[in-house]
Amino acid sequence: MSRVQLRSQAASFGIVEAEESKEMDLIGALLLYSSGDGRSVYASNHQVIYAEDAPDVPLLGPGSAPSKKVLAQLGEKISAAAAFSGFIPEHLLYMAPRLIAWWCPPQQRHLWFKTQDDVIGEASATIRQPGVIFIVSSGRLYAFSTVGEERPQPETLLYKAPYFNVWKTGEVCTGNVAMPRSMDAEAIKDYERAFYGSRFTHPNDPDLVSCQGGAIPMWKHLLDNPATPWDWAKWLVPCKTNFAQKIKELIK
Amino acid sequence: MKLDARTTPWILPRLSAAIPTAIWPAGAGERPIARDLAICLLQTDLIDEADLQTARDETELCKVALSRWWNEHAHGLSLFRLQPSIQTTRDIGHYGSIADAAFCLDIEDRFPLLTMERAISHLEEERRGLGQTVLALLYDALAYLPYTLSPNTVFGLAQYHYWQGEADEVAFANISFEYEESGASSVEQFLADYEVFRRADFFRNIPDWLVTPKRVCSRKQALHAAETSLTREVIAACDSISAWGQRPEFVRRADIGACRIDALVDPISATMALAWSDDDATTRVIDDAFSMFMQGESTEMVTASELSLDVRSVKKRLAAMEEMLGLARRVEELILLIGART
Repeated sequence: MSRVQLRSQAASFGIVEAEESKEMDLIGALLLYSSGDGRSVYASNHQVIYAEDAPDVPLLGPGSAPSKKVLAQLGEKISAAAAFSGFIPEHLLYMAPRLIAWWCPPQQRHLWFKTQDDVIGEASATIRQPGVIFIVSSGRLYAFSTVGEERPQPETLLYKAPYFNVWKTGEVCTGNVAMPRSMDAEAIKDYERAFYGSRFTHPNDPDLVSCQGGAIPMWKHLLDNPATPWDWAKWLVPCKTNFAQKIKELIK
Repeated sequence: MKLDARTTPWILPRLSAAIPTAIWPAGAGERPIARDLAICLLQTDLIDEADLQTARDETELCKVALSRWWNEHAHGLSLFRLQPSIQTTRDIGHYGSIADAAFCLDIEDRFPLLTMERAISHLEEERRGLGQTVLALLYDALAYLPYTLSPNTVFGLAQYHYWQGEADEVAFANISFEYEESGASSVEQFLADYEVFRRADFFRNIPDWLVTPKRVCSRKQALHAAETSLTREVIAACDSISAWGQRPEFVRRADIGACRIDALVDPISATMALAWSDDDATTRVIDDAFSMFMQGESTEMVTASELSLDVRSVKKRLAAMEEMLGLARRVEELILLIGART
């Protein structure tokens, strides 16, 4: 038997701020000039300066025509926040500056439930899921189901995602779920993990599935019989819209 | 006023007073914590004049003051290798929390597995019930410490993971629709067909009382029976834990909730795992449960307890942590005596 002996060392206490909480100082301004018809635009680049006799009053310093380098750097930063560059994931369906949509094919997923009712309570199981189209638009996550195994097309009909915590509109109630902050293709896995990995707590739509008694007894059955083959097509509720129409609606 | 951009010198326009010179782009729920925390620490006298002179900003001020405070109280700990931090709740899976922050403890590297069979068996040989009594006291103390996998905790994981929170596999089978629809002629057949982990698998070659030991031996009986230095040292370590826990300061300041893991996340790490022996079911249960937890929302932290950034709450939490660290040091002395590293 070897007795335990470990070294001891001083710890450094960490203070971990949210990434977005970093303070940003005002460092400059672009002033824009435009011709009356809006076809010509001129920009001048100004630093913010403080006069010696009034150190608390910010002033715009002398302007200069922004160099191509400055404009390129600015464009790069704006692009990083508003557009995507990178390898395109296999299941990515649509991408716009403030919207991303992808498909999660039918597959086995481990789901967790923690409900207040006496039917499900706290439970989890690995259950085969229907195909799901996820859409992130302006920071909101939407989920819709599809029928079949094929990759959705613009005309593919949408069905309600049969999950708790999804509103009638398809928007996911993210109350306690830590959602990814970014909205790019690389965050797809994080969104899926946040959605499927969270605990489903309550149905937000009384007409969530075509099942007598609603979604609670259906999920109870699936949790108790996870290995049973399940034909989702029989239980999904149509949204009366297709994928392209939904994108158009959310982009408005 | 119109200027010819090619020939006229630039003048200096003033900014409107309404234009901020600094911003936090985060939402209201994600405001920086360092500023509020620093104000709290100033009022708890953890920050001194020298800190104020040297720290570059509030974050550094908090780090310096809290590192000094932590190391003063955690000094000498070698088994509880805790890495403290205060974090925004959002970053630790507490999105939507009304608390400003969380007091968090991480561990360095992987958590160790310690086996207790030899030492506890020795105590039981000295006097029947002594080993059980020592463990009862140890488990009571662990409730105040960061997440530690004792046989009691590990059995709880087994119930949660294998039996949907039921007491054992039979109770699980009786509520399981899988059993109802399996066509099995008996519970026993169902359990065999589905290879369900059984209570007997957990208790194979370990004492029945290991999960929920009772204090069946008095201190006087223990001292009377003690013939070896190990037994005497273990009794002294238990005395030390009891004495710490019975102080009025502990009763007033300790908080059993200070080391909990808040919110809807499951732990996938621990300060250490205490097993009976190398070949008991501990490792299997932990691996199975943690593998499942990792698929959902989980945390590697061994403490992540929400903290409001007001002076009263911060003072209270620091006091609770001081009591916890004092207890941890004494518990560690006991574990170092009864635990063997695998």
